[in-house]
Amino acid sequence: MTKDADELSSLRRLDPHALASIHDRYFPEVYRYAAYRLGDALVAEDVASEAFVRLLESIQTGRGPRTSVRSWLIGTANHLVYDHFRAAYRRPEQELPEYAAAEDGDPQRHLESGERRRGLRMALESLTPEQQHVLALRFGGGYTLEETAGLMGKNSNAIKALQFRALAAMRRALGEFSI
Amino acid sequence: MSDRLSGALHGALESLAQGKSIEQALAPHGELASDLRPLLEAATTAAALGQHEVPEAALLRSRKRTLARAAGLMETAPRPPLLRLVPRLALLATALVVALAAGVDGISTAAAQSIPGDILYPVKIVSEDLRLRLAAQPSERMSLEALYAQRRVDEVLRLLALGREVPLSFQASVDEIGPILWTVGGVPVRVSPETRVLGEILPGMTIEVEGLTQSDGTFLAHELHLKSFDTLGTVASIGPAEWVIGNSSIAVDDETWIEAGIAVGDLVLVRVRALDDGSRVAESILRFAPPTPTPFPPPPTARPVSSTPLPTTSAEATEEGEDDEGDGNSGPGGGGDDEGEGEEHAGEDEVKDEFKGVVQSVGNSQWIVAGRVLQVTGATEIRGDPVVGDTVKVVAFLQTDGTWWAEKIEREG
Repeated sequence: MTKDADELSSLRRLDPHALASIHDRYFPEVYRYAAYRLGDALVAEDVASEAFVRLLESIQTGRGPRTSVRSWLIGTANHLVYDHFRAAYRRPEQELPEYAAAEDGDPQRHLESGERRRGLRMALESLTPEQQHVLALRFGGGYTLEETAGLMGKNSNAIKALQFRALAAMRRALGEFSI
Repeated sequence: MSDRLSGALHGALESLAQGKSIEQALAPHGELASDLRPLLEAATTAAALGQHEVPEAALLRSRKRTLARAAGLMETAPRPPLLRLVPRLALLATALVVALAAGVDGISTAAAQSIPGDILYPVKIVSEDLRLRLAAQPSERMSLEALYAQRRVDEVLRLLALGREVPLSFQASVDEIGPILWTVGGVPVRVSPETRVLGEILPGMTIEVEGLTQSDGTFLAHELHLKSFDTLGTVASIGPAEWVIGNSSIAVDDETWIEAGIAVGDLVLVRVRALDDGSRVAESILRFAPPTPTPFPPPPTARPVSSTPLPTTSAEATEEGEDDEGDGNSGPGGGGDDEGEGEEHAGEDEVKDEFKGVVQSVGNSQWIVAGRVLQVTGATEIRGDPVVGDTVKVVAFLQTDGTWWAEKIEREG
């Protein structure tokens, strides 16, 4: 039995030991992905955790992953991030929080660093969801081109092209936000 | 962009990942260096958003929550399949008994007029379910499903007209998306911060709406769930369980309706069912014949705003690159000497479209040009400050969700 098939079987049985092991194996990846997209540690934790809960619920209703648990979790985290931004858009009075806190005691540096980070984030969020997704996988998750292709269900050449367009769009957006 | 440039970019990114400086990463790329430099700078900036440390406490909290949910699911584990069927069979039997007692035509007429909350409504649903099960062909089944979906919408509209509050769900195509009010199949749907939105939903897609009809004539949504959408692409490979269409792998199963004779290289229209995890199953795959290009853009009224986001206007859908060569290691300085300087064009398997047309609508995230709905983001290059009524040149890419993203919109003249 392959690793993925083994994991799926454990998930269906709801075996607590296997569940804990699967959770601990993938949580860091899902968290890092969400943190990159969101720039907020608490929301990233919520998103990553919710992805695991949905994984269990989906498997119980026969709608869970067919092949790869990792792909399913990252795909679900992508949708949860999208939902988060949609909800935030409906509540514009809530400013999106910053991930970074002061790393040294200099308030001026902190202010500049905070503003730059906010600008970077605005630039990232101005990309299409698919472009954000590929940058988060490549630069937030540190996945290789081939791994990214597997997670997005595309071939490597398509990822090269998408990555190119995403970076070109990022460059234009950075110019727009004067970063 | 050329495959050469995107390949060179990948090679340079690999060099950066190995700890080389931008100058060192650019060194092997000669004449492409000036094109690559701003992209590498953007990549460095993108990387600055960081790979985040994972707090131990966060992992422990999530593990605890996951295990608690698993325990809850074990307590409510589903009954064996046979037992689960009992209420359904009982309902079916009841419906048949009632049908026999009243005469099939009589019951059909009475039940057909019923709406949710009426005593005969379950009979209507069961008889529809029965017809669906008896459908011999996938095409017949799809037609019936479309018919019944429209009936559900009509029932919702009747309930809204009557001002009755009934919890139910229906499926329809999204006409418009607003901050608090959507229009779905003609039904005004109210969304709130508590509404769960599952999937990346855009106008033209088919969604399931769960919620409550309201006495104020609107439908209050508890959940909006992407069900299906149409997309266009070239068949790259055909497998028993999976097709590759454009850039995407799409699962097929026994219920997928596939037009006979489709081969690799054909342009096809795919109705894709979206599953909760983002994976997709094709409901139907039909050969697509693009309309004959016309010398002028269609008149502004050629297409309703709410139409599905498919390329059916005068634009020529440019299919690029059939030279699939796997992952083609065109990495650092790799290959590509046989091509001219990179005029921008889609990578392989991507559908790029360039067309001219009149701007009909300018929104924050959507524009309508020549009757076509375009997704516009901060990354879209907009030149010449076009306004409604201007003629513009558009470069757009087909996204995997079936919508078109505008890369560039430029005012003519």
